[in-house]
Amino acid sequence: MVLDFSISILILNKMAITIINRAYMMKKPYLPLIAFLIPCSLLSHPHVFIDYTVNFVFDQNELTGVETQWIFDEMYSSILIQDYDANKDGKFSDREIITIKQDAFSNLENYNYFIYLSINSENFKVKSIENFSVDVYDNKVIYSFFIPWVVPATLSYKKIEICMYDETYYVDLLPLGDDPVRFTNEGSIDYEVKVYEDTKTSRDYGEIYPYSICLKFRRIE
Amino acid sequence: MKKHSVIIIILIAVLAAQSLLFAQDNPFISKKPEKSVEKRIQYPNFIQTFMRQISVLQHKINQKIIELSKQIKEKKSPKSILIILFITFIYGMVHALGPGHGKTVTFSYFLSERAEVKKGIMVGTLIGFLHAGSALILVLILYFIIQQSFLRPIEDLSRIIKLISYALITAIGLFLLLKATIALWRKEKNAGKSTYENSVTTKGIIPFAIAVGMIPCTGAVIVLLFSISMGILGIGIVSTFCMALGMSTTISLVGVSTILAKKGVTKFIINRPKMNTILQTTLSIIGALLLTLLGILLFTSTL
Repeated sequence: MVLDFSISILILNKMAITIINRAYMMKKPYLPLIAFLIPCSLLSHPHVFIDYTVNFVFDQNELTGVETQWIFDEMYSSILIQDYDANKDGKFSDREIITIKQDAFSNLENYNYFIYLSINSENFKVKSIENFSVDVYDNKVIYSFFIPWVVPATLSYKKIEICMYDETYYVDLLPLGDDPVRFTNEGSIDYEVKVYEDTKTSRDYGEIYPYSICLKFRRIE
Repeated sequence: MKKHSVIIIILIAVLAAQSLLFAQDNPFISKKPEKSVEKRIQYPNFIQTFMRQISVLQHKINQKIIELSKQIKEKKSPKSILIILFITFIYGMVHALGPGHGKTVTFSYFLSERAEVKKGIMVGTLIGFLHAGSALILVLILYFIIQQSFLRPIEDLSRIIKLISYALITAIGLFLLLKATIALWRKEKNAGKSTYENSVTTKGIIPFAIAVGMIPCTGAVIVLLFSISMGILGIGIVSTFCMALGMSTTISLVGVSTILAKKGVTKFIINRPKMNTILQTTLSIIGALLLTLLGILLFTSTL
C-alpha cells in the first residue's frame, strides 16, 4: 500500500516533469509550476527542535522502562521559560512543573507522546508517563520522564526499538549528538545498541525518516 | 488541448495531495483533530533523505537567529541587525513554501478566476503581510493585556480565527462556483455569440486575501514570542515585516505562475474560441470546487 503510494507519486512526479520539460521547450510557461511538485510541506517546518537522550533501565533480568530527556532548542525554551517560570528565578519549581505538565505536555497523549515502541517488530503504545520533571540547563528547557515498559530478558536475543517523531512535524526530534543512549543496571545483560535513520516504510509518517534506537539484548546465564 | 488539460489536472492532484498538511497546531497544547483528513503520502527514499538534510539546515538557521538575538541583546550593532533581517526574510520565503500559508488556496483561486499577472503579485503580497500582521497584532494584544503565558491563549485564539478563515474560504469557493455556473448558463443561452469574461478587479481579490491572510503565521508568532522573551521586541517586529516580505514573494510566485500557466494553456487554443470557453469554464469550476472542498475539509478538521 505504502509502496504503491511511493511508486505512484514517483511516476506522477516523473510524468509531470517530462510534460513540463516538453512544454517548456515549446516555449510554454509551465516551468514555474515545477516548484509545486516538491513535497514542500517540510521546508517551512519544524517550529520546535528537540534533542533527546534515552536511558534503558534494567532491573535484574528485565527492562523496566526507558528514561528520556527532551532538550528543547533555545528559541522554544525561552518561550517556555517566559510562559511558565512565574517567579522568574530561572528554574522551575514543583508547582510550575505541574502547570507545564498540564499545559504543555499532557496533551501529547493525543500524539502518543511522539514515542513509538516495538518488541521484535511488534508495535506497542505508550500507556503512561511517570516522574515528569522540567529543568533548565544552559538556557535550554529539558523535559525528563520515565516510560514504564517491562520487557523480560530471555536467553535468546530480543530486539526492541524506540522511535520518536512528531507526525505533524511541528517538532523535529533528533537523538542528541553521537551518544544519546545510556544504561542503568545493565550488569546481567548482554546487549547491542544501534541508532539509525529508520528508512522502514511501515510508518504512517512518510515525509522525513525519523531516527530510531534499536536495542538487542539477552540475559547472561 | 486534451494533453494540456491533463497537465493541469495532474498539477491539481499533486497540489491537492500537498495541501493535506495545512495550518499547524502546536501539539503540546492543541487537541489533535478528531477527524483526520490527512492521508499521508510515503515519499520516496531520496526525497526523505534530502528532507532530513533540509531539517538540519533549518536547525542551523534557528541557532543562527538565537545567536544573533543574543548579540543584539548585548549590543545593538547595525551589522547583526542587518543579518538577522536578511535571515528572517529568507526564513519567510522558505516558510511560506510550507503548509498553511495559502499556497494551495491561492492556486485554486487563480485557477478559477481570470486575472492579470499583477493581481497575482497583489494577492501574494496582501496575504503575506496580513498573515504576519495578524500574528503581530495577536501577540501585541496579548503582550499588553496579560504580559505572561502566551502559548495557550495564542493557540485558542488562532483556532477561532482559523475557523472564521476556513468558513470564508468555503463561502468564496461557493461564490466562485455560483459565478462559474451562471457564466456557463449564460454562454449556453448566448451560444454563437462571443462572450468576453472580465478579469477580476482589485476590489474582487481583497475578500479572498483577507480570508486567507487573517490566520496568524505560526512562524512569526514564535519569532515574536522569542523576541519578547529576549527583551528585543522592536527587532522582533521589524523581523516580522521581513518575514512578511519573504512570504509575499513566495505566495506571489504561486499566484503568478498559476496565472501564467493558465494563459499558456489557453494560448494553444486562442484561435478556437469555443474550446477556449470550454476550458476556461472547466478550470473555473475545478478551481472553485477545490476551494470549496478545501474550506470545508479545513473547517471540519479544525472544529
